Amino acid sequence: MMRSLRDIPIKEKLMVIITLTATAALLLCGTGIVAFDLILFRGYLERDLNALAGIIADNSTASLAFNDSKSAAETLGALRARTHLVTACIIRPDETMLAQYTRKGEVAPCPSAGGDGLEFTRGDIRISRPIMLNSQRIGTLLLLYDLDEITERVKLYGATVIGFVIIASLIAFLLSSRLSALIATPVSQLVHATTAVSETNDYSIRAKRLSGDELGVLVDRFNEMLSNIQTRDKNLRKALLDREEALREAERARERFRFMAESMPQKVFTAKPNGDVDYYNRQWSEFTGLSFEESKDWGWIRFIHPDDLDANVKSWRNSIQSGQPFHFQHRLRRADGAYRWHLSRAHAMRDSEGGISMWIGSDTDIHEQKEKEEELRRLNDDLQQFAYSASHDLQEPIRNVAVYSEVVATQYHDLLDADGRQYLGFLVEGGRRLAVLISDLLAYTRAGVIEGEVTSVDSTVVLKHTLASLSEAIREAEGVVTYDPLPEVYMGEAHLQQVLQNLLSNALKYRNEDPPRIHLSAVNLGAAWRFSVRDNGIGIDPQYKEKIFGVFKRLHRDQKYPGTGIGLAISHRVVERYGGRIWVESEPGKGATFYFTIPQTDARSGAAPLESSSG
Amino acid sequence: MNLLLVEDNLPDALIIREAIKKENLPVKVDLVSDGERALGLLFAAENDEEAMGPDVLLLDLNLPKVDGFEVLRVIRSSNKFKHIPVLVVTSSDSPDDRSEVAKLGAGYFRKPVTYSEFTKIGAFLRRFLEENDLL
Repeated sequence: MMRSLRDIPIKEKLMVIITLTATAALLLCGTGIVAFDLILFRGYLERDLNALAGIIADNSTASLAFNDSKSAAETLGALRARTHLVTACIIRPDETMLAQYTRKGEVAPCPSAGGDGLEFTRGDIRISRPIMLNSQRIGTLLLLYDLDEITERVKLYGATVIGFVIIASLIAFLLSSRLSALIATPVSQLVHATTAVSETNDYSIRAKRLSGDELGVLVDRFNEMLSNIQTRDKNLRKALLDREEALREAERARERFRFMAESMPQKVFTAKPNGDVDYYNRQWSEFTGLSFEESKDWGWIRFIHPDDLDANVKSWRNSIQSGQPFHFQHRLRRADGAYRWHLSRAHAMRDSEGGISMWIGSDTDIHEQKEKEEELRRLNDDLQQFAYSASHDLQEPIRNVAVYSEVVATQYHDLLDADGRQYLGFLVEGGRRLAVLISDLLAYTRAGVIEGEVTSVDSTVVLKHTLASLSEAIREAEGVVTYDPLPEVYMGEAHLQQVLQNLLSNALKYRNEDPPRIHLSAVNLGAAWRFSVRDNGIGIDPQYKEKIFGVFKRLHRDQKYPGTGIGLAISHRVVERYGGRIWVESEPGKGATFYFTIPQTDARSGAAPLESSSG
Repeated sequence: MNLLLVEDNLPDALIIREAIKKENLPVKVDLVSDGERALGLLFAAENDEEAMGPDVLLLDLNLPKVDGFEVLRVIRSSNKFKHIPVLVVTSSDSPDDRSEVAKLGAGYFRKPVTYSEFTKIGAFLRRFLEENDLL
């Protein structure tokens, strides 16, 4: 019963509980009332029957005293109205019967005389009452009363109680079926909500609060719980989505890396933190002619030229230990056995904690570049050799020609006729000119060579040196040279002086009738300093502004402007050698401004010059 | 005063000797035409305590057999001649040559391309000797 009750829905359970409780309570009450009434009724019946017996006994005194059985029978006949009185007898002291009343249709003997008083027996009440006259007992009244009245009363009351119980239970059932909804509806609503959540995993569902009692609180707490779960679920989903996206991105990155690695002309590889190579692209296999299995881990060392191997392995091990980038030039063996120069580089990829997660590297074929470098080195050596030869071997005979033709021209002048002297003059001039040209050409050759490490130099100091060496020429020309503060630049001092000297010499040389006014300044362009040398001289026709920087290119053959035309070519070569540019802006008759730039970072060392203000 | 002129170019040697003569310098000029001979002379003087050896050297750089730089280096490492004044007389105008010569503690005279300029070597040598307390 309890088990089956436990499993039925709350609404029905409530109805059953309420109905049963009400029924039980009513039954208990009804039974109590009936029992109490029975006790009261018995008392009442006792008093009633005692009073009745007293009255009958008193009324029978005379009849008994006179032994008048008729009158006694009449007295007893008054008991007819009492339907539950079975029989009544008046007994003489000698226990003979004076009169008897018997209920109609009843044949009953007189009850046996016992003690006086009222006695309940099984199915009836026996009353024995003495009949007294002058305090002397003259007889006994015996009454026998059946208990059917009590039974009827119990039946009536019982039926009434049962009827009420049934009606009350029915009402309780009906009421409970309505009222249980107060509890059952919020509960079932909660159940629906939980079922919906568990079936759909939709944590946005909320149970509706239908009451302000504990169930209402339960609904609130349940909704709060759902809200928390929803937030957590959302965060969890987001985290999952993020992770999935990160995984997808990682996969895409891997794909991109593979695609990039496979489509690059270089040989690309990756290695574990301990240096074991775990990936090679197709280009590597094609170059070496071997499979990945054959060259993985440290298998690649068999392709390194024996002369490069030790240094290579040492350098690679150093990088693995220190995490520093690997950078090495070596020869790799091609499938056909030929060795080709390669530049191998590898960088350590680090995780968020700074540990090396892998190495990514490439091998670039620099064989042709190497060969060109070698060729260039040879050419440079040849050029240096030429410069040396020109400095020493070439200059001597030319100088001999120039000097001795001059000696002949002065000391043996009279031995020659006019033509001979003119021709000798040509020889002297030609020899001198050749010597100067050779010397200039040599200076031009040297201008392209930067030797040793370039350090920063204060261009104001260099300018002052230059002005000192040009002081005679400035004085002669009555020139005025002004300048703004000039910066420090990364340039060989001799080279900067050469450029400044050439530009200032030109500015002094190519002057018009007015005394030369020359101004130098420098502007910071960020990546470079731009120097300018502005003059008020004869200017240059724009159509020649490129040509003037060529070797031995001169615009004037006039004796007024002597020179071989090497100065600007040397300046051009020097400036370009330092990564700068030189140009001129001018119009004939309006002076000229020569500009040149010097990068602020020394391209060869990567160092930056000190800060310096410009004018 | 003994001056050793190490010069393989006879025309130049003649001009130098003429310029010294014109300047009236109190020197006896000996001429050798290559570095090997110059070193031979110096070695002979180094090993002979009585031999005086040269007091000053005029040294060309571009010399047959042993070049001027090598001669200068040997001189600077010798016990007897390491402090001898040396004036390098050369056609070269190379900054490298100039700085290398300066490092080896010698004077520098670049041979000019005109006779009148070249003969100025006399006056130049006089100043050089004076600076080295030889005059």
